[in-house]
Amino acid sequence: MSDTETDELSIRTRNLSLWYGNFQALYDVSVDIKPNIITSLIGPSGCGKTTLLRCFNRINERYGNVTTKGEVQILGENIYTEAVALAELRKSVGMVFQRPNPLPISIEKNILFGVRSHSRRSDLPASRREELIESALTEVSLWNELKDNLKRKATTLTLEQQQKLCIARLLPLKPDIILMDEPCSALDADGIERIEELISDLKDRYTIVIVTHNMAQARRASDECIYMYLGEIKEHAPTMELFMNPKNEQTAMYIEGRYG
Amino acid sequence: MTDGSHHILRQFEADLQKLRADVLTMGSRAQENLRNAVNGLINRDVELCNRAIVEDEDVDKLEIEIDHEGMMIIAKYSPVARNLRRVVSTMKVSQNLERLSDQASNIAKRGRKIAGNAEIPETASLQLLFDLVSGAVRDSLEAFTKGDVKRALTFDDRDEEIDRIYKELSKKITKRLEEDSSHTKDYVDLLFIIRFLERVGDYAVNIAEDAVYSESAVDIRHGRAHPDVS
Repeated sequence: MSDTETDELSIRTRNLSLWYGNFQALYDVSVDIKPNIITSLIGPSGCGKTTLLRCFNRINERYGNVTTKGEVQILGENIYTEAVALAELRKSVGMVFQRPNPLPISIEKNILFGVRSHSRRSDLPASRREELIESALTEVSLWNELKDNLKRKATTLTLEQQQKLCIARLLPLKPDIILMDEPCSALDADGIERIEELISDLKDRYTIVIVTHNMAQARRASDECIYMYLGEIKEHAPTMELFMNPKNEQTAMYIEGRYG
Repeated sequence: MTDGSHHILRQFEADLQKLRADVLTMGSRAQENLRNAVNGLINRDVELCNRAIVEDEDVDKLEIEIDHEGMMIIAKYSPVARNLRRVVSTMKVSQNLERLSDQASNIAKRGRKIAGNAEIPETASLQLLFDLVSGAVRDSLEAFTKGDVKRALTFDDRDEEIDRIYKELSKKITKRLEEDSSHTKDYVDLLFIIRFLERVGDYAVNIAEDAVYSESAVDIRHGRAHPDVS
């Protein structure tokens, strides 16, 4: 791959291995994730997809007893060096979790929480705060339904609204990449549909990596798809190519339901 | 915040519409090839015959494209119920249109040969068969695209009429073949050509059957019961 192409990648890993204690969860993962598309990570439980996702903002380290080897570049910069400020990294690489986890404070405070911890108070006058709240909620299609209730406690929202809020609160930090770990698994069919629509709308502005157990979701909602098995990447291809003509026999077995 | 172009369900709808639009394009291209082939034959216009042969390739390409689009829609969205029937029926209609265009090309090839020989009056007598067949193709495609089950259910009678005219012409041409040995080859070619046209009539019936299935989920092929449309 030429330098120009490397520079244009959002995420690039080389020989990435990871151990939880003595258990090796990732084996020599080398992957290139392109900007402004949705990449899905699929594979049976325990295959390492969530672990890989968590390497992209070094959140694995919070779990202790984790050893990581190899390289992860975010927008061309290796994030596994001493020089990397974790706060800055996580600003640039936001994360949405399986269960919506808004803070038990108001909707507006949830939106401002991240940006407040990254700015000085004087940088956030009231007008700026209002602007941030409105644009973040608009971007996740919540503004119209919530604009008159911004002081409402976020934990009283529906699960779908909570999950959208969790996406919205990343946006004032201007992330480049949004990682999503099964963001729809707590939602009903309508909620799933609307979150997928939202993710699809966001991809023009952010690089999105989504872990999903739901293969139909991977098919509908992602542009590229990565199949993982026992800590290794078995196949990475444009989603339709992977589902119509998988090159790897293990991928074929998994997507055809002959496995796992 | 969004221009709407990335909405997933809207995208599904857009993909379905593209598939429909492509099969319409394919239908008009195939019909044009048939018209050119028969007009080329009747008017002894080699240029028109050549066009029907060359442009058959475009119809072939559309068949491949439509199959690919249909497979993608099935793989990506797992459509169900009417959407699933529409996708599968569209792929089947496209296959019939490809065969139709092949027949147009076959007619054009023999038409080209006939045009090089002295004129025989029986060639003009194909016009009626062609009118019936091309009318059936046009109406079956319209029934398919508009989901008009009532109209699609009229094709058994129309096909019988086409078969009757075909048999009459076949007898007439066979008789001339026996009488006039100076144009043996042309009469044999004409016999083939009316057979090709009769086959095109069958494709119109297939398309009408797909129209019925696509809209009503009732499979009327091989004489099975029709849906109630009263």
